[in-house]
Amino acid sequence: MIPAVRVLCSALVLSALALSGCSHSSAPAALNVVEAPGPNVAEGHLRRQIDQAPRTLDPGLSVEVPAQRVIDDLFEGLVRLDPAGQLIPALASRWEISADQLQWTFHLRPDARWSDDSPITAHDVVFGWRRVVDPATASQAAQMLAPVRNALQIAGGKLPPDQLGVQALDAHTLVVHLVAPTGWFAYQLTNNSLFPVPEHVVRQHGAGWVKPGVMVSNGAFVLKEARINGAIQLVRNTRYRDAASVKLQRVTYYPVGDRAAAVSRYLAGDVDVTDGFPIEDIELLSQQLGSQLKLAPYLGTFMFGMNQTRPPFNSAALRMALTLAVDRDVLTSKLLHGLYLPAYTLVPAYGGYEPPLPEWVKWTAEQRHARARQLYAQAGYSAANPLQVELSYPTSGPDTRRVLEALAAMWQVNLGAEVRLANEEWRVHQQNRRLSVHALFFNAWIGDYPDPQTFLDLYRVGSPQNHGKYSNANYERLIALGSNTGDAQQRTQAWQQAESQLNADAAFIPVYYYQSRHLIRPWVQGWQGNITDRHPSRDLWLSTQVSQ
Amino acid sequence: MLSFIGKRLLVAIPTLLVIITLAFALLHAAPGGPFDSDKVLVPEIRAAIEARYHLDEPVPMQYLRYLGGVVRGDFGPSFQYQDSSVNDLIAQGLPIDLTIGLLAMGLALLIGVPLGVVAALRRNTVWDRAASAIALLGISVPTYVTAPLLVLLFAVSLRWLPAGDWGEGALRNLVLPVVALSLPYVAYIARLLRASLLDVLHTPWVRTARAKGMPWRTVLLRHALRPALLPLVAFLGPATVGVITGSIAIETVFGLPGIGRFFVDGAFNRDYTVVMGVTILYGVLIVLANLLADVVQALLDPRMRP
Repeated sequence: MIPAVRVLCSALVLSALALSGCSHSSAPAALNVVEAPGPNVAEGHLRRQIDQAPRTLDPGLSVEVPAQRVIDDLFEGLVRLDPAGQLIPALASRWEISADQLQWTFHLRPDARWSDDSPITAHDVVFGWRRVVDPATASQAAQMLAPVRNALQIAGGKLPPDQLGVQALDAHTLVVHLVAPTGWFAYQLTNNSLFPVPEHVVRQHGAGWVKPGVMVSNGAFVLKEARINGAIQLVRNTRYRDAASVKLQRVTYYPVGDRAAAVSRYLAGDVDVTDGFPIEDIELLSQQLGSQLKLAPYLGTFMFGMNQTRPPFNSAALRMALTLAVDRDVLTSKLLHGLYLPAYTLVPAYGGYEPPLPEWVKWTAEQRHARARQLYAQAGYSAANPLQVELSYPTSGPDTRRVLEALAAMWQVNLGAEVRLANEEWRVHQQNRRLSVHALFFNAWIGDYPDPQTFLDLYRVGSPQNHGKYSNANYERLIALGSNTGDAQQRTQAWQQAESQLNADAAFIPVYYYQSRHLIRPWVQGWQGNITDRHPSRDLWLSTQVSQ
Repeated sequence: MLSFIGKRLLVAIPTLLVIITLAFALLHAAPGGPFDSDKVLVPEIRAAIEARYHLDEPVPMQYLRYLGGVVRGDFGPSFQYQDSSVNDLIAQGLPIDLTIGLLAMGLALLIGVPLGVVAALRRNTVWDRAASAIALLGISVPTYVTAPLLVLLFAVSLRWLPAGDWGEGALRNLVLPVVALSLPYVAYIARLLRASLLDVLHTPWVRTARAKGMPWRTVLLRHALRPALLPLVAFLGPATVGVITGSIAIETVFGLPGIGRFFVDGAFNRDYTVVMGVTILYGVLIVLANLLADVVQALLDPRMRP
């Protein structure tokens, strides 16, 4: 949406909220805040807003969040995440890992059936995976299968798809051969692209197999109706292997791209769950809606990259000076109203991993600024000869722009550096970043699975995401160690040491860790914040008995 | 008349060819491609995907391949909406835009014409001023302001109507988008008709008709309104296309699955085929609407017949 429109919409929603607050000063929660559940609640019909129309409903092609939301309801993989984000068995009831950790054997539930009542077999998994890496499918998700033997060679057209390291020993036994011990592989299986697809339906209907009326799926829900950019309606799948535990009868997804419009839809009572709200509304919404506003740590980091192969950022002292001069607490508490959390490392902390904090985290702001100025001078800059550099960022909402302006101001005040904001259209920015055109640039990463490796890979030599061309032999060694060891403790240690190396080299400037944010009506039950921000509808239910 | 229509359609072919060529060249000249995303693809996979969509071929070759498809009526696959072809997207979105657009235009005529007539007949009275004020407001306030305001009032505060969604074309879902979309057109139509009717009311033939004692109602309906409608008809051709294609803000605010959003998202996502398909569609619609307007004008005014 045009930014001006977005701003205006937000302003209008805000002003309405503000007005309603003023006119009912005795009852601040006057506007649609607490109310009786609508008829959809008694019908077991959950209405969810998503940020944009899913680009596909085909698990093998899915690479973005809106598609993932819907596909998580329609399909189920070998394993899944429970409401708290923990791995639990799903289509596979159990699995074994070989001593060298290169071979995984999955035992599928023999009673699992597709929604057309045909049995789900290991062949459907093999077919699905081969299809994802087959260049003829042109799936952007192909690299998700990278841990599986030969996946990248097949995707690059160098080997035929039947050479993929996955085989069906019999109808219900699946064997996977990996390139290296991959501790997080079980998490990788929760990625949509590793879900089984019904071979008999895909072969018969080709690309049209995902259309309503044709699609056959194995999740808690089946597709009833879908319009691109319009509502997507799902109904309960009576043949789902665990149908007895599914409480909802229907789920409808409404793609609403504009977050202010999404809030309007929520306030109008048209949806029960939103996938976000404008940052600038957070104070007002939390005042008005109280506990309906849900924040939870999310596996994502907002940072800046620097091109380390050429001046000025080939100077580690300068990189560290810029890192130290950022007042993250001020940024997250004052400007972002606590919506995001200050970041000092690449990987956010989550259950099972504690990132190593750099020493300067404990310093006072004055100490930090003093050290930053010292390093800035060491790099050859001064008031007479200030650092002059462009910060390149893609066109985005007003939220990002405000954050960037604040950061530029911090560098100006704390160091005297002149950082100019340079806006680029989204695809242009992506292209320039890929070609390492920028000196200082916007960078953000959302982890694919809860393991530090999904972040640490970004700074490996040869990684397509290593836009700043960071290179350090010790880092490479630690990552190789972590990737190839089967010992979980040793791996975590290697990851932590690798992170410390990144911090010591000031390989990037961490700014904040993301949090997921939703508006959720009180009658929606079973919702738990989790690090991957995945909330399949099978774990949710609606209750008319709402505690307000 | 038929040969006139035939000739006009023939002239449309080179026009469309120019549109296609320009749009194609502009799109491919824009930096960044459809598969440049924040998650960078491994080069081998990127190459495989580009080959799949023939993006690895030289641009002139891609252009010829695209033209060949268009001649066969095939606008190609969408890069963004991977489950659909561009033909699918248009087939799904066009009826929605047509419904909203034509209803909005109908509503605009229903309100705008009487408003314009009243303003012209009661010139410089309070009626005229009120009609002009309404028209001015309709023209000056853009739909991306009126639409959220209508949502706030009728959906969020009063809860009478839904705040968005197509709802399979249910009347309650249509009301707000249609009203929001029609408001500026009400204003244009009213102002246009007022001006042209005032011109006609001062012509000698109207004076003559009045002098011969013809009843005022007959003078107005038979002699004045018909020629006064001519500028309006000329306006309605492109305006109808505008109302069908120009509802992007409305589609966004109300979350309607029309073509306008495919077009805008397509441009941002370098979804070449979608942008091309919609451009061609809009081009064809404009050609047809202008032709229709000319035909109707000719029917209203014998002097304009070819």
